Amino acid sequence: MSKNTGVYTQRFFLFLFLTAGCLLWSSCFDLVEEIDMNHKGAGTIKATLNLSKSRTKVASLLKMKQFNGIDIPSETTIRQEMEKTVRMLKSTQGISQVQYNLDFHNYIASLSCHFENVQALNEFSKTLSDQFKIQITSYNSYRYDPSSQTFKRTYSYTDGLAKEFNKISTEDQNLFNDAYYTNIMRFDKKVQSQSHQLAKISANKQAVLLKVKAIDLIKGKTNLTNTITLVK
Amino acid sequence: MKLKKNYIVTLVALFSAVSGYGQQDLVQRVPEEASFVVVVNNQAIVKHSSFEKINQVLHKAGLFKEINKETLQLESISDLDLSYDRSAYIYKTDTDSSYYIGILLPLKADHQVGHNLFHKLKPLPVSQGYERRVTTDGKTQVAWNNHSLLILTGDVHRYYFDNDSVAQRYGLETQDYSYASPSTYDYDYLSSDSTDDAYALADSVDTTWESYNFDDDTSYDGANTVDSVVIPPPVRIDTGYTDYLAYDSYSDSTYQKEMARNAKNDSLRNAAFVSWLAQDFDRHLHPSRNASSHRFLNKFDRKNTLVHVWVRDLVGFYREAMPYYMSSMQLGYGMENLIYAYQDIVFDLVQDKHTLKITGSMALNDEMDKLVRPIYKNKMNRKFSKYIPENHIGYFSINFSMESYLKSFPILMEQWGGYSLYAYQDIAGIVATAFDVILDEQAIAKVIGGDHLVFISELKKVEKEYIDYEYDNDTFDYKEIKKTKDDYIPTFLWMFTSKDQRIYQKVLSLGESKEKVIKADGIYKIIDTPKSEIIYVLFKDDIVFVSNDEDQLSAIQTNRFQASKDRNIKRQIFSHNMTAVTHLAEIPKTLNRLGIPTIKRWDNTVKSLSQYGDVTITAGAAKKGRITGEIAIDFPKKETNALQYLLEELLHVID
Repeated sequence: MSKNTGVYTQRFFLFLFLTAGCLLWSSCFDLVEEIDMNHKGAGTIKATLNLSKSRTKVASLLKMKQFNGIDIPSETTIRQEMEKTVRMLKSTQGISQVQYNLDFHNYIASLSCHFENVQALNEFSKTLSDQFKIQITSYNSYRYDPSSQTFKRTYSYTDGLAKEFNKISTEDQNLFNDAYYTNIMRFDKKVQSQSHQLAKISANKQAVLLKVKAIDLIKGKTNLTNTITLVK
Repeated sequence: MKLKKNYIVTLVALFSAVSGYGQQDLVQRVPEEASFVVVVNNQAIVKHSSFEKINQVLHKAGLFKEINKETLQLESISDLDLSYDRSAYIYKTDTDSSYYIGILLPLKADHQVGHNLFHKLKPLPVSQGYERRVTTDGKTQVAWNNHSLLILTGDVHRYYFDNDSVAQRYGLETQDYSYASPSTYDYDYLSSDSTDDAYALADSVDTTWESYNFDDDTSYDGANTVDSVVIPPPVRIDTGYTDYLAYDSYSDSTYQKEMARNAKNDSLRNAAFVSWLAQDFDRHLHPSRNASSHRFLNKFDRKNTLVHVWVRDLVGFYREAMPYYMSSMQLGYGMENLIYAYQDIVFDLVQDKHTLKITGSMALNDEMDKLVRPIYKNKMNRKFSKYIPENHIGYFSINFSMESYLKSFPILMEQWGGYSLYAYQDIAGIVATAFDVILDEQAIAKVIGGDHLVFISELKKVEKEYIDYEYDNDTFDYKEIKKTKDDYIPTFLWMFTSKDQRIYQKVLSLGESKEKVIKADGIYKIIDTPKSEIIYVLFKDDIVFVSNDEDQLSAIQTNRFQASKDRNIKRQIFSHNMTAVTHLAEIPKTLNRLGIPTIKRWDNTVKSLSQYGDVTITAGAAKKGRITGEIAIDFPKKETNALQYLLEELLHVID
């Protein structure tokens, strides 16, 4: 699995969170990151941001040009930025089948692509992070060792997002109790073991699911580091 | 005895006339031809506020600090030389070549404006008891006597000089890229003689004025606004390794020529204006005919109107922005053709206890009045009063005669559409005639009347759908599922008169057959709407009700509806052709329940809204050739009146 796949998705959504700004304050959301990977290190990634629970709030925010100093993009801008991201993805070697969907009725955004190898995603990730200039994200990397068939996610927390988060009122912070980040990893082989305390292995033994509160991630109370070993 | 009595009366009258002359209302000094006049009703402002509070605001705003820098020691506005027992006037006059703005201020006894405000200006000869001064650039003149002050300023209309013959007459250089030889360009073209010759030519609007000795006026401090054009040399920037000219790309000869041409033309335009001002100033100081003859300039409630604005006509108002020929060129038709029917306009800022109002009215010419009066004449359905919800956030009503509107439509279209379609005036005429022939105005008016009433009611708790995910335990594949959560939505109730409801019922029946509409207990439920909000329709008597709240329609249908007994709402709705009211006190609660975020700096403002009353916008019928409108805001009753509250708020804002 690519080291940078996670970085890419995280950065993409941080773009939505922070560059787009308004979504952070919608407070009630689900971010689902889904990675299907074969034992050679290729696969697909799909990221979905679901704000349908906060439709009224998001709709109001999108009508504003600025909210507490943060520029609120219009629907057109969000579409343009998404198309730009997709164009970049398509021009990245090793990336294919790029698809996206923006549903401005339910406020659900999704982006998916196929990745052939880690190098392609590394390159893509670098370009993307350069474009969005997001330094606020916690560092996240994946490593896959085909010989030992060990998949490792390393996560180190930085407080950039927490600093932004602390700027909003306690009342609004409490609203984040209903916001979740979900990571699903699926493999073409069975999982022998995984190390995260909160993650669980599926009944067919080929997937690992980790669902955590967004507020715990923001405040650094939860760590996403995990080592998954596949059956040889 | 009778003779003695008459003698005394005559003496008293004479004395009053003489002593009152100096204290006369300054409207007597506003020229009759003014196109725009603002009356600042000092007496009402002082009565409704207080010197102390105004002083506090001005102190906090730093005004006195700024003025004191100019060596005038001020602690209070009462230290100014102004008198607050008479109104001040600001007016504008226009010609095709220039405009003037005059400011007429009443002065208090023993004032020292000459020393306090205008000591830096150049003195001019005293004229009929008025001391006069002029600014360095000659574009502003002031004059005062014991009672009042006139400040007259203005500028040219630049488009006046766009005309080649005018430009030629005043010596302006027109844009000509054909002359390429820099050697032919003469930077010394502006000798005083040549400029005198140029602007001594008469303005088209006034060909009788005598030549004005401009040199005398412009030479007093060594500065000469006309005789020289100075083009600063390009700035040299030392980069450390080479020298080059800043604005390098603009330093070529063409650019230099363009700059010089602009500077010369500006200078000539200014010179022309300075001479016109000098010539016209006396006419403004002692207008032969004054604006007091304009009925609606003087007609306002002197006790409560703080500021009164009068505009001669909409055509003149429009002319301020753009000359006619320009709109003809750009739009293909002259705007004067569209707005000629609208005449003088007045606006008043009125203080009425805790309410501040902006009222306005506009006169229509006879033709337009005849056209629109029948449109405004309509009786709103009295049964509406039975369906006014007790609790609501706001409402909107409109009341016009649909039949008269449809009858007037072809004429309006011919007049407006014809002009706006320009080359298609004939087509507009044909379309208008076709409408006239085809439409059965009376039948349409029966289907949809011109009286409409919409209430935005209190928020209603509803279950709202959202998308969630359900995970398969075997593979962790997930699928989207619809869940519901409690949410609040604003409900609305719209009613309008329809004496012939067949067409609506047929359309809804068609919807039923397509399974997009469900009829239950006499209420139609439209389920296929763009935003997935269910809309309900009910027909009762001669009224069509539309709402997103089934309970309201059900209550109406079964005569259980609890109507508001608020007489004020009924009065507003039935006495105006248009009313839009928002109960501001409901806003904070509504925003909160809807989860609509407010930015931090609005927090206090939003919270304070709970203390406000209503914002009311109304438009009245066309009466006596005028259409009227009003915007009113009910301020919190924390201070003695609305103006005091506003001043208090201003103090907080400045803090």
